[in-house]
Amino acid sequence: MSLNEVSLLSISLKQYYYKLKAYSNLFNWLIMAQIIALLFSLGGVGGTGAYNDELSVSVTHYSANIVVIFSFAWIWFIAIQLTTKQYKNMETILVTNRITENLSSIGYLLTACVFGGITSSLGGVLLRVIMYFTSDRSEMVFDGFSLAQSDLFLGMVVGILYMVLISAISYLLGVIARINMVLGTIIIALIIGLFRVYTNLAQLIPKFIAFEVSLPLFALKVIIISILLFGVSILLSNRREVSQ
Amino acid sequence: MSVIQCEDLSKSFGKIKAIDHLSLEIEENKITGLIGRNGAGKTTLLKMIAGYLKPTSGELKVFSKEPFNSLGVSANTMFVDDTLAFSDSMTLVDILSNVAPFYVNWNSSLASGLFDYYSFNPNQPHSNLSKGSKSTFNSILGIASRCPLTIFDEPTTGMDSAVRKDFYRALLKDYLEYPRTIILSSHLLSELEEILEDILLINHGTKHLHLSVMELKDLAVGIRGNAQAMQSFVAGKEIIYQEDFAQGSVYVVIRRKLVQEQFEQIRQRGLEVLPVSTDDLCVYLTATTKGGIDDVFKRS
Repeated sequence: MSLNEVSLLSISLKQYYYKLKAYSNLFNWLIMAQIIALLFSLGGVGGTGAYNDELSVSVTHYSANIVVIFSFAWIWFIAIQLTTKQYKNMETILVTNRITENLSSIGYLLTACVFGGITSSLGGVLLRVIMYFTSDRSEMVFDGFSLAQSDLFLGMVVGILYMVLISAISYLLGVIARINMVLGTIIIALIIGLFRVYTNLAQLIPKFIAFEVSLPLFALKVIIISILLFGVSILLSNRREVSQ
Repeated sequence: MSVIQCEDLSKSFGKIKAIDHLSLEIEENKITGLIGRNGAGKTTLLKMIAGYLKPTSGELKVFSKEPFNSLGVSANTMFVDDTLAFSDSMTLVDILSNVAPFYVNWNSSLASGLFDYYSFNPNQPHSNLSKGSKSTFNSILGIASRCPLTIFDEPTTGMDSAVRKDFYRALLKDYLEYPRTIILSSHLLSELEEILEDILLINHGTKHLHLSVMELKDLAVGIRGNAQAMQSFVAGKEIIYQEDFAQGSVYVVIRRKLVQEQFEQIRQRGLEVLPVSTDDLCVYLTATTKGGIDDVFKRS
C-alpha cells in the first residue's frame, strides 16, 4: 500500500475550511451580541440637560460603541473557546498535528476579526439609520451624523486590528490555561499585580498602542505583537499530547 | 513489511505505568485484534500509535516514522473511538462531506451506502445520536476513510448485536476489496475472531501473546472429570485455569503441547477433553488468580 504524502500548508488550509464550516455557530453569537448591543445603544449612551426659567434643553448622545465593545468581548471569548478541550476534541478526526491545528485556528480567528470589525463598524451606520427614521428629525443635531467613507473605513481597519490583538492575547491565555490552569491564573494575577505596582508600565502599553496616531504604525505594532503572541502559543502547544 | 514496530516501549502517567516495556511488530495488511482486560493499556498503546500520546521511553515507529505529532503518520492513520466529537453546526451528512477531503482514499459511495443502510437521519447533529448510533456512525468514518492504518478502539460500544454483525461484515468486505492494516480493540473476542488474523493479548501494559487466531485456538485444551483422576494426571504440569464443580468434578485448562501425546491416557482415566474458546482462554491467561472469581467466595 502506498503512503499518502501531505504538506503542512495544504492540510492547514483544509482544516481552516473545515473550521469555518464546523464553528459557524460562533458567528451567530456575534450577530446576537451585536443586536443586543444595538438595542442598548438605541436608548442613548449619555445625556446632558440645562434649563432656566423659560427654557429647558436636554441632549441625548447616541453611539454604537457598545456594539464595538461587545464584538471585542466576542472575539476574546471565541479565541479562548478554540483552545478548550471541547473544541480540541473536534480536531482529532482530521489529518492533523499541533502546528496545523494552531495555524487553522489562527486563520479562523483572523477571519472572525475581519467579519467582526466590519460588522461592528456597520453597526454604527445601522444605528444612525434607525435613529433617522424613528426619531423626530427636527430635534436631531446632525453634527457628526453623516459618516464619511474614509472614517467608516478607518473604523473598520482599527476595529479589525484591535480584534486581532485581543484574539492573540486571549488565545495565548487559553493555551497556557490548557497546559496548566494554575499557571494561567498565576500569570494573569502577576500581570495585574505588576500593572498596579508599576503604574508607569500600565500607562506605557496603552500609550504604545492606543495613542498611536499614524494608522500604518499602529497596524505594524499590532501585527508584530500579534505574531509574537500567536508564535508563543504555537511553541507552547506544539509538543502537547492530545488529551481526550 | 511491518507497519508498526515498537521496542521496549513504556508510557507512564505520573507514577502509573500504563505500558511497560512492550515490544511488538504488526505486519502490513493484517487485521489484528488487540485484547486485554480493563486497564491493560490497550487505549494508551493505540493512542501512542495514532500519535496522540508521546512514549515515555522506548522506540515506536509507524510507517518507519515516529508517530507523535506527525502529520505524515496522521495522514495515513485513522483512529476511531467513542470520544470522537463533532460540532453541532454540522449535520451528519456535513460531517461526511467535510471529513472526506482529508483522506485521499476516501470512498464516498461506500460512506453514503453505509449511511443509508443504517438509515441515519441526514440532518441530525452528531451529539443527538444515541451511544450505539454514534459508534455506528464513527465506524462508517473508519471504514470509508480507507487509511493504510485503521485503528478501532472499542468500536462496538453500545451497538446492538445486529449492527455489530453488520459492522464486522462491512469491515471484512471492504478489507478484502482494499487490503490495509487494521487494529481492533475489543472485549468481544468471540464475535471478532472470525475476521481477525492475529491476536495481540496485552496484560498490565506488556505483551502477553501475539499469535494468529489459529495458533491461539490450538494453544490450550480443557479437561474435565473426577478430581482425583485429574490430580494425578496434571501433577507437575502448569495449569492455566482451574474450576471446581460439585461432586468432586473439576475442570482444568492446560497447554496443548503439554498433553499432546497423552490424549489416550486422558480418556482411559475417564477424563473428558474439551476445546477452549479463545475468548475464555484470553480471560484465563490474564487472570490474577487461577480459580477466578470463585476464589473470592471460597475465602469468606
